[in-house]
Amino acid sequence: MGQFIFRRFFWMIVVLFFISIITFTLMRAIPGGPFSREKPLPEATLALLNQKYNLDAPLLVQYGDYIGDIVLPIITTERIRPSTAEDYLVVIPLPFIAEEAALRWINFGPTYGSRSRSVNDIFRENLPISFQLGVAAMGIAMAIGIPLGVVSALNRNTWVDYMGMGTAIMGVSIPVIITAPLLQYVFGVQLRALPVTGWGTIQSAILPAFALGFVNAALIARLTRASLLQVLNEDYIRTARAKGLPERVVITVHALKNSLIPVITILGPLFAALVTGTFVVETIFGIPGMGRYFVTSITGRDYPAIMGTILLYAFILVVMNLIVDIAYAWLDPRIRFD
Amino acid sequence: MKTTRFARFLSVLLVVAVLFSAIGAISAQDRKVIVTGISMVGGDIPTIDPQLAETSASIEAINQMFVGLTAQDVTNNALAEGMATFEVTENADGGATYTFTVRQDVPWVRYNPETDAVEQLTDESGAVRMVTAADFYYGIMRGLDPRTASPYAYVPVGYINGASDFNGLVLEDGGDAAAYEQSLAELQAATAVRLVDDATIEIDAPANTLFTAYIYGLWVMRATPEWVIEEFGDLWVEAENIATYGPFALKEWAHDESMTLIKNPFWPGTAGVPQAKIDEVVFRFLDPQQQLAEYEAGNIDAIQIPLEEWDRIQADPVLSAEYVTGTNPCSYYIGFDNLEAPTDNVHLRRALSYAVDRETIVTNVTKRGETAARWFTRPDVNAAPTLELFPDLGISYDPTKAQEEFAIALTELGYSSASELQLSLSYNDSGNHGAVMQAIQQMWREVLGLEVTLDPRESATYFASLSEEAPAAYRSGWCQDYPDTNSYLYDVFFSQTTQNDTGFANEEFDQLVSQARLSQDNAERIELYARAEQILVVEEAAIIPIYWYALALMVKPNVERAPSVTGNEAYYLWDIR
Repeated sequence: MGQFIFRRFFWMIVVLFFISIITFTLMRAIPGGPFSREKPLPEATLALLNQKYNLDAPLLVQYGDYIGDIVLPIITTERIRPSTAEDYLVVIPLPFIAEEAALRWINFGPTYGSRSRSVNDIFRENLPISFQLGVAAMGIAMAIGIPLGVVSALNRNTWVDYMGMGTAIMGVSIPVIITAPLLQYVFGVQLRALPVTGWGTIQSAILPAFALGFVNAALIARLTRASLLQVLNEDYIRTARAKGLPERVVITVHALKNSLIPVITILGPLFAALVTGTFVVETIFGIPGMGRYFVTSITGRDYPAIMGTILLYAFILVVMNLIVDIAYAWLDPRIRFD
Repeated sequence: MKTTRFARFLSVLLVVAVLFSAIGAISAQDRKVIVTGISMVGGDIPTIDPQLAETSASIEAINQMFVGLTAQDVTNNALAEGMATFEVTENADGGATYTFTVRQDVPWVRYNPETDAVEQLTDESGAVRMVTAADFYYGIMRGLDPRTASPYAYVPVGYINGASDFNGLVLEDGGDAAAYEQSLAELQAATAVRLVDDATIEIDAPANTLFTAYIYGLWVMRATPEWVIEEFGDLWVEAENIATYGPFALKEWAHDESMTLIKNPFWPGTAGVPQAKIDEVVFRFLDPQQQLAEYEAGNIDAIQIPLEEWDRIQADPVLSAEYVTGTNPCSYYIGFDNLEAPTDNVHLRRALSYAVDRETIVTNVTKRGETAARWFTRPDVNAAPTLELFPDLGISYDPTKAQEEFAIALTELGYSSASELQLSLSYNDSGNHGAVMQAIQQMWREVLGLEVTLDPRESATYFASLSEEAPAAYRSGWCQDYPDTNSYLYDVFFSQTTQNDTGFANEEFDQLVSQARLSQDNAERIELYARAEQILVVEEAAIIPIYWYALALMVKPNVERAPSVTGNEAYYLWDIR
């Protein structure tokens, strides 16, 4: 197992490296730059901005500098003035060298969208918010989706099944761009029971988490049902029943656990998508999360923010897939990674 | 069993939620707080650093916290007293020297969350730090310094002797950094801004114009606190570090969410920028749709109206009564590539312009209070021709003339019918530009029998392409930097300016706008500009003026909004009844 995880970590670094190259190439290939404006900036001003953000260097040098700033730790001996270009995620003071000395590591660079914030600031301040929302939505999705799928499967082709799957189809079919404003209008504007927009209180999280969770609950419910139905026809379920186990034990211990493998498979990427933020829900509910940066950084040609958000998303995705693989072994003892 | 338990869980959740929000609704009402979304969009304010600001959201916030050497009467564009009084002396070379006397009774302040009060800042010796001419000198030089890379410094650069060389000095790749610093120091010394004493600052302008004083009041030339910037670098604008001096101070900046400004009791008030009447302003960073939802829920006092909801608001008796129209100092137009076929043909350009029914566009497409434009410059800025003074100036919808001109154009271009003419209309695919372009496409089809193809492009791609190689016909807009016709006609269409993507160059036009630029008599300037507009939009038809923008707002009945023609709200004039 240890060797397996080690191997996966090695490949993760390779994958992230290739993702960074592809992203960097693609974003530089699209026309327009971070300073393209309706009111065009004079050549001289553009030259100054390009110089400030190191955009006048050859592309290979720019890429090298960027990766270097992230990967290579540096040791500074003097206090550095706060700057969006030199903002390090990891700062370890080294008082034995000099009073202000420190080891600094992981600098994702400035964001062009703000003159006082860095990409690291987005990770520090916006990511936790998206993470909270994502976890809440994930919780709702699983809390609704798995029971709904199980109940539907156990009552196959009865009215319970039709009701459950009807709800699920509705959830999958109606996009969040409809449900979110609808929830907002009913509970926020009309009933005034919950905040319309904003973040920071439990009640402000209810609507967005529900809007986001419901769509995914429907997805999980359908998958759970299909998978459980398949498992219920397996020989070992018949064996379990034949040896006289109570139905409850047959379902929970033998059927459900095995039927969750396909569900777990999608939970990984789903979790990565939810916790790194969703543009639509965050925009509609005015949540200061990270999802907006995925879209605005591309339209604004905010190169460091594009790189940062994509790499972070890729990182979480790869880690989640690893966790999913490990979860397989626990769910199905036949699976081995040696 | 499981489903009923879940239903019970849901209902408990709902009850808890209702209880929570009931608690939240009980809040202090004794402070006058205005929550606003005007000029704001979802996301964050890019900066509140005066030397780095360029978006309207940034400028709006900066105007409440930093006051310029000069200020503007927001009701009529006249100059008003800001942080200084000034005298102008004409120089022998045709230039002018502006001598500013800066007020001595304004302290630097910061909000202290522990005492919940705005406090005066002190220096090492404990004395209150007052805003001085030196702070303005520092702010101006910081804006001009090429290392600051200010995106707006290019505007004042043209109005300060020597500033252009200083601001334009770029360190060549692999260049000698020490020599660069040395040259910068020399060029800064050669820039004609002189700090005479703590109260006096002098600026030499290359020309004596009526609008230079407005330029010196621009945000990029405001005083900024050197000692704070030296210590906190890029982070000096955060609430815990910043120092301001205007009618409001920064209380909280919740990035990507909101910004709260609190009244600065130490601002003495001037004729142009009086003391604030309200205690706090909260900017909510929301897109117009979300602003409206919060407005209807009673949580925001003033918003901009999303186009999609306009018809519903008009139909609603309560909401429509709260509609307020304001000034958005911009002009919307279609530009032509004046240099390449087929749009190098003046008859074709004129035919296309006559065929656009601007009234229909503003009443049926954009709908929110815009004015059909007959020429480029907004009539409400200084020295601009007005519709009352010049009822026949410019161009308007005239299908007969359009068809006549089109016939000539086809002959000259060598086409036997309109179907042979290939033309596309490019635009940035955002907002409602698509709807306006479709309307124009339809008008050209109906009046001229011309079928143009629409060419929507992604915004950044589009704007980059305009500067490189203008499409044959393209959507554009211009927002003024200062309220004078010079900011329109000279800054955009003088043949030597960088903003002119059309390639339009006309000797008489250049001569007219250059003469009007230096004239000290606004009545004479209006006449000169009227003639220039006639050349631009009729005789040469270099562009098609479409409309003059408006601001469509909704303001709660208990809030007294101060009308503003500047395009920025002056919250220090707002009040709550």
